[in-house]
Amino acid sequence: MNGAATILQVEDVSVSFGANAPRVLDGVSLQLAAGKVLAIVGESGSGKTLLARSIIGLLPPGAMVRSGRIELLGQDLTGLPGAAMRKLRGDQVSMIFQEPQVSLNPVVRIGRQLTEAAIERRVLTPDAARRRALDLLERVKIPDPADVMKRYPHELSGGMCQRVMIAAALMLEPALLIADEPTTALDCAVQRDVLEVMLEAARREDTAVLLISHDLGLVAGHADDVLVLKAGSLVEKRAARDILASPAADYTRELLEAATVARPASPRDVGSNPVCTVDGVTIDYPVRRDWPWQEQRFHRAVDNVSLDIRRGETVAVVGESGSGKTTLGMAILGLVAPTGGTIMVDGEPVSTDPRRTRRFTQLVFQNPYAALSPRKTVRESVAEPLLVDRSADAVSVAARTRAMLDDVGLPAALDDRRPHELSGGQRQRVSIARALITQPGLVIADEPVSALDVTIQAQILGLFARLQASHGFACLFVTHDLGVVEAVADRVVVLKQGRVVESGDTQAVFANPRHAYTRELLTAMPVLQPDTGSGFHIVNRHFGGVSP
Amino acid sequence: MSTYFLKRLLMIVPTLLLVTVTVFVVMRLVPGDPVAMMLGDIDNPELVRQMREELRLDEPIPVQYVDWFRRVITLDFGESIVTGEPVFDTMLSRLGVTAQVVFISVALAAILAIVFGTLAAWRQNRASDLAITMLAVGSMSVPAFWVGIALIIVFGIKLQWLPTVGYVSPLDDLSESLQFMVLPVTALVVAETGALLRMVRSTTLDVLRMDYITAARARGLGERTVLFRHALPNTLIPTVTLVGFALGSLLGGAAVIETVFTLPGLGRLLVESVYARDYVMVQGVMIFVAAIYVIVNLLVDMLYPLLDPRVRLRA
Repeated sequence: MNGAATILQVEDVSVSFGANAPRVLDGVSLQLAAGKVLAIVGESGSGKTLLARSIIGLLPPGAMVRSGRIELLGQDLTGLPGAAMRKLRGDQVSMIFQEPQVSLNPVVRIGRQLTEAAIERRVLTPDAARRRALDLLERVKIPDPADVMKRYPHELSGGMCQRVMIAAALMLEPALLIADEPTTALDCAVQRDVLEVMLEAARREDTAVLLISHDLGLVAGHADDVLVLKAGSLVEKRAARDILASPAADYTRELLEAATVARPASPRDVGSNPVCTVDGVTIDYPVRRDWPWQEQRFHRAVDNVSLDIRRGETVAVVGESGSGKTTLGMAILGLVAPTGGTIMVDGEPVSTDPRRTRRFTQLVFQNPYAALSPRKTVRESVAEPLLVDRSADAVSVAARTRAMLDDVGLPAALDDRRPHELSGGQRQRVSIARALITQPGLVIADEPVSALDVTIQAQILGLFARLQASHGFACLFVTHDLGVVEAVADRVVVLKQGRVVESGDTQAVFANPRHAYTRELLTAMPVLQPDTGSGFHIVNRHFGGVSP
Repeated sequence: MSTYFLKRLLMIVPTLLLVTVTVFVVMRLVPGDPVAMMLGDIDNPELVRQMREELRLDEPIPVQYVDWFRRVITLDFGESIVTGEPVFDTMLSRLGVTAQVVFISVALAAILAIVFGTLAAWRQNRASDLAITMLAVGSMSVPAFWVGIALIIVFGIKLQWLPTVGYVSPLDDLSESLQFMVLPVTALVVAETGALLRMVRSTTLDVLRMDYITAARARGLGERTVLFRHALPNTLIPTVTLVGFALGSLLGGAAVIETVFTLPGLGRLLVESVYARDYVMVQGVMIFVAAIYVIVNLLVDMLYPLLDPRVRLRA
C-alpha cells in the first residue's frame, strides 16, 4: 500500500446471527492505509453493511463476529469490551449512514449534534468544539454555517443533512471513516457533489475511507481499491482502475454490465396514433391555510405540460423529487384532476369517473413490497383485476393468470407464495403481471426499478422491454435515473418544478442537451461504458456552449 | 407559532359549546319530572306549578337553554337544589381536593413510567426488563379500588400506620394532610403507572431502533447520553399525550377512589348529586368535568411545540 501506514486490517472475519446460524459474512479480509479510499461493492444481502458495522462495533442485535481479527491502528477490536469500543468510536472510527434525514435526531439542534461528543468526552472545550464544527461545515460547503448550527434537521434538505453528517463524523479527526451508501438517498444532481465533498474533507485530514455502495459504476471512479462482495463472500479485490479495465470474476462483470447503459436492441414498432395526449395540463394543490377566511393559495405541481405517447412507445419523464413527475402520472390515471388543460387517453378525455380509463391504463409502483397485499398469494394478486368483471369464469381466469405469470418469468411453484416469501425482483415481476393482465394499452411505471439491486434492475428492464414488444402497450416511465432512461425510453421529457424544460428523442437529448438543467443532470452522472475489449471505462459527460 | 396556539385556543370554543348542548338536552331527556322527584310523596299541584316556575321548567327547551347558557358563561351554574349553595363554589372547592390527589399521583406515575419504561426498553428481554414488564401488567390488571381497599386493610387497619378515610386540607395542617394523601395517591399510582410504562417502553424500543440512535453511538456518545439526551426527548412526545389523557380523565373521574377513601372530591360530588337527584348540580359538574378535560388537552397541545420542533413548522 505504497508505504502509507496501515489503518485497518481485517482478517478472515465471519459474522452470523446466532452461534449456529449460517454465516452471513464469511471469511472476508481487507487492508486499508491512511488517506486511501476502499470501496466495498455488493447487492442487498451481500453483507457489506454487516462488515462495516462489525468494524465500528455496532452490529444489529443478535449478530456476532464468529471468527477473525479486526485491527484498527494495530489494536484488535474483536472481543473488545463495550466501554473500550465506545472510546474508539468517533475518535478513531466514525460512520455516515444512508438516510441523512433520519440519521440526525429530529428534536436536537444541528449544533449540539455536531459538538456533543467532543464536549462529553472532554476532547475539546465547548468553544473549541464550536469553532471546529463551524470550520468543518464550511469545508463540506454549507452556506452560512453559524445559522445551520441553530437549526433542526427537518429544516435542511437531504443533501445538506448528509453534509452535516459528514462534518459530525469528522469532528474528532478519526483515522477511519465508514460511509454506508452515503449518496443513495439523495437527489442525483447533488449525489456527486456530496461524495466529492466527503472524500475531499477526508483527504485533507488523511482519513482512510471505507466507501460502501451497491453502485460499482459510481464508486469506481472515486476509490483507490474496490472489493466486491456477494452473499457474504469476497468475490474480487483489486485496484479500482484494474477492476474496470479487466474484471476477473463473472459476478463483477455482471455488476458492471448491469450498470452499463444499454440501448434496446431493435427499434420498436411504434404506431403513429397517440394513445395518450396531455395538452397544456396544469395541476394545483391547495396549500394548507391557517384560517378558513384566508385566501386559498395553491402549489403548482405541474405547470402547462404537454406530451403524447404513441402506441408501443416508451416516454420517460425525468426529474428530481418534487418535480411533479409522479403527479403527472396520477393525472393520466385519472386519480388526480387537472386544474387546467386536457388529458385524452384512448381517444376519450380522462374523466372524474375513470372506470374505463383505469381499465385501459395500469400502474406499476416503485416499491413492490408496499404495493402488494401481504395477505394475498401471487396467484390471487395477479388474478384480482380480472375478477372486477363478474362474468369471468374461474377456469379462464386461472388460465390467463398462469399465462401472464409465465410471461413475466415466474414458475408455477411460486403461485401460492405471499409477498414476504419472494425476493425484490420476484415481487416486481408479480406487480408487472398484475398491471398487464387486463391487456392495458398504456402502463404508467413510477420508478419501477429504483428500489431494486442493479443486476435485478437490468433483468426487470429487459423483461419490460420484452413484454412491451409482445404485448404492444405504450409506457410512461417515471424515473429520476438517467441511466434507466437511456436504456428504456424512445423519448424523454425533463421536468423541473412542474415545467417541461426539455423534451425530444432520448438519443438526441442525451447527445446534445439544450437546457442548462438537463446538462447539470447529465454531468452529475458519470457513465460506465464497455471498452472495445473486455473492460469498461467511466465517461464523464461534458457539454460545451451555453443554453439559448 | 402563535398561530398554532391561537388555533388550539379557538378550537375549544365549539367543543365546549357542543358539550353544553349535549349535557342540557340529556338532562331534559332523563325520564321523570325533576320537580316531582324532588317533592317526592307530596302531592300538591299548586306547589309543583310554583316550583316549575321557579326553576323555569315551564318554558320551551331552547328558551331554557339560552337562559341557562347565558348564566353559565358568567360561571353562574345556579344553586344546588339540596344544599342551596352556589354550584360553582362547591365544584371549585371539591376540585381542589381531587386536583391535589390526582396531580401528585399522575406526576409520580409519569416519572416512574418514564424511568422504568426507558430502563426496560434499554435492557430488552433481560431479567430486569421482564420483571418491570410483569409489574406493569400487574398494575394494569388490578382495579384501583381493590388496591385502595387492600391498602386500607394493611396499612390502616392491621398496621395502623396511616389514617384510612377522610381529608384534611393542606392549608389547615400540612403534615396531617399529607398523611391522609399517602394511601389514595399510592392506589392511583399503582393503577395508573402500568399503562404509561408499557407505552414508554414500546415507544423507546421504536426510538432505539432509529438510525439517529445508531448514529449517536457511532459518534462515540456514552449510553447515558444516547438514552436520555437522544432517545428520551423523542419518547416524551407520545408519552405527554397519554399523561394528558390520564390527568384529564382522573380529574373528573376519580369517583371510585374518592369513595373508597371518602375524599370530598369532584367525582364523588357527581355521584352524590345523582343519588340526591340534584339535577342542577349534576348538570354543572358534567360541564365542569368536560371543560377540565378539554383544557388539560389544550395544555398538552401547547406543550407539543416545545417538545417537537417539527410541530412548530407545521403550524
